[in-house]
Amino acid sequence: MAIDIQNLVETIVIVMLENRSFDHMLGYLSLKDETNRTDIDGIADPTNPSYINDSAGETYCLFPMKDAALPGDLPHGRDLVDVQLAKSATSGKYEMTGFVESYRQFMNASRVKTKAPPMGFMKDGKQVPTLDFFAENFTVCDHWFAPLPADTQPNRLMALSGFTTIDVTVAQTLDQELVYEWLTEMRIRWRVYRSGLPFCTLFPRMWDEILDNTLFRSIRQLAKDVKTESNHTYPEVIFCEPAYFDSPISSGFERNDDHPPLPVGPGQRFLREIYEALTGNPARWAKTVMIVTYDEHGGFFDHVPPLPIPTDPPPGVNYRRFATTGVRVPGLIVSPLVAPASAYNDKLDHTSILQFLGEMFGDGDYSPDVKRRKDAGIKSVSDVLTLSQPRAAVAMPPLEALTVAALVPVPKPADKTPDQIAFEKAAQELLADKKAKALDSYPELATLKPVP
Amino acid sequence: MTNVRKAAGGCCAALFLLVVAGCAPKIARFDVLPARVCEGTPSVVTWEISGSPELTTAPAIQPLQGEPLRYQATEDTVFTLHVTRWPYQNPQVSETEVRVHRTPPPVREPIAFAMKCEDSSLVGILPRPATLWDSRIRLETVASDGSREMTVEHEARSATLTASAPSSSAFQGATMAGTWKLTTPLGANERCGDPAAAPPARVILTTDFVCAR
Repeated sequence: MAIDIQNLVETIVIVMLENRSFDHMLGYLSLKDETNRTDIDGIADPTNPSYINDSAGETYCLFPMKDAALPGDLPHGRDLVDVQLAKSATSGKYEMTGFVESYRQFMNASRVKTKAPPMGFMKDGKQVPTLDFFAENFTVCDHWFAPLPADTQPNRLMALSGFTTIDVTVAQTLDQELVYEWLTEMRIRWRVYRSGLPFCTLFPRMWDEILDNTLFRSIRQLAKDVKTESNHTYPEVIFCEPAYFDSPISSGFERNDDHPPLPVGPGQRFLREIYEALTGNPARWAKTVMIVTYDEHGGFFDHVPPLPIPTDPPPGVNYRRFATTGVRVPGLIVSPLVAPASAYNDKLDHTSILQFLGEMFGDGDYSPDVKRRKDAGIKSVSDVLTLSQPRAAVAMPPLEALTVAALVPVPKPADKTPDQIAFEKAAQELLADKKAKALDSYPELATLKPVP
Repeated sequence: MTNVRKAAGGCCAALFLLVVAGCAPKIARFDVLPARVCEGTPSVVTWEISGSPELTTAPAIQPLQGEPLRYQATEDTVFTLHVTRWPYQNPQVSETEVRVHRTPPPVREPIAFAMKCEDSSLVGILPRPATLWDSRIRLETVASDGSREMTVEHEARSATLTASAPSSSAFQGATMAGTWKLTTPLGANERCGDPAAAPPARVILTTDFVCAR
């Protein structure tokens, strides 16, 4: 632990977006012709032969891209992530050369275009202006991995529990103990600021909580609460949730979770609004740690192999053991307790957040599962914090033209994904079970068809 | 800029009002062949779908004639097929591409071989379908990075690439299509099945090719 977190940190803010790899979003930071951050393990040279992916006899190179709506989703389920990691038959090493082949299989195509979506990376900081601002003023964690080489639900469960009862995203509601319950048990004040339906709509065990306005609030209330809420009720742990692409209702928000095929402009605006809300109260900001990461890589290329940290199913659950973590994702620590333009190069994953909570509010360890990962080399978010004297808040530059890409119509898939089905089913059941309170908190639920 | 071409509805257009709920659009196949052409060679666009297709190209080009659609691209062109059903929501989208090559100068392109252990050698085999490549595309040279000795076989020809002679013109005039085979002996410190002394999982060659007149 680098600093005295018990005295220096009062509020932890957690923001988890969807489906982008580190190289895809932040690899440009290391470009020799761009910011040339040699302290960050990004894409120094896009023509590096080891980055070449091959599929159906063709070779595919990385290409710089502007933020835009994508043609569709990219593969990121367990089996196709295995293809992406390209474990070598000769060496057993993960070559990271199967991203295009995985995409080709996902698209049922004989081949895919030269600029295959998995190989695109943001050409410069203008495509991701909020992350670029964070990188320039706070800490980039360049070895933050999704905990599992799998898709949304298993990775989000790892973030929320430190373990997962499923290894693939399922089209049904979920049930396992979550961090919210742990915090309640520890008598820690917490709150979710949501843009539409929160992720734990998928958990019937959380339905009473998500309809409780002291625990789940619209993100539109964040700025006011940061400025004026009493210290007795202001949360110690805040979860800020975007408007999910997979949600059946939008609640008046633009979808801004960065899930392909969405452009990332709306997500950048979402992050900016959170930062501006948090820095709106300088005294509170001085003791705030904002954590920004992504649930998993979403099928986009990354050149760093996963960590050889295995994950076993919990007792009573039967799925094939995961031999490694997932692919790297963006990870940023935005706080007055880190140096500007700094990098943290040690190993982190989503359970690093739970480690941090365990240190702050528990008896040192969050759970045996999280401790196992810690013992295997996964560090805590607290290790990233380095300053014992908080810096003053840094004002964000004026908003640049973020909205152009966001205005492009986003294609919706012909068939609903398992996560979309799960979300819709959970929302329908929530509405059927607690109609009056549900409609009071989420009026747009009225547009849903009833449970079949 | 794009152009748009619409075609008639698919398998169940006549019954769409009755079956729309269970009749999601599908793209079973979408292809442009050959996909690698020299300037002036036309490509044919074909698809198997259920639903109503809409084909766009970027940049916009005009078809030479009707079904099957024949296009003559003058630069790299991405073909996008949108397939919908009434009420024209949730289209399924597929993309493919024609790459148009012009020479001089020669076009330089890497090819990657996934390697497997065979006895005391590493072997990589890469089949490349003839339908994909314009027969006017012809090899000039094949080169390695010079890090190890290797033998390349293609179209009944072969060349040995070494550290001192990493490039060869033995394949000059050969087409890109067909089966490629690359063989390289295991190095002194390489052992198959031993992660600590693992040989490379793949080897990349660089090819230079031109469009024959």
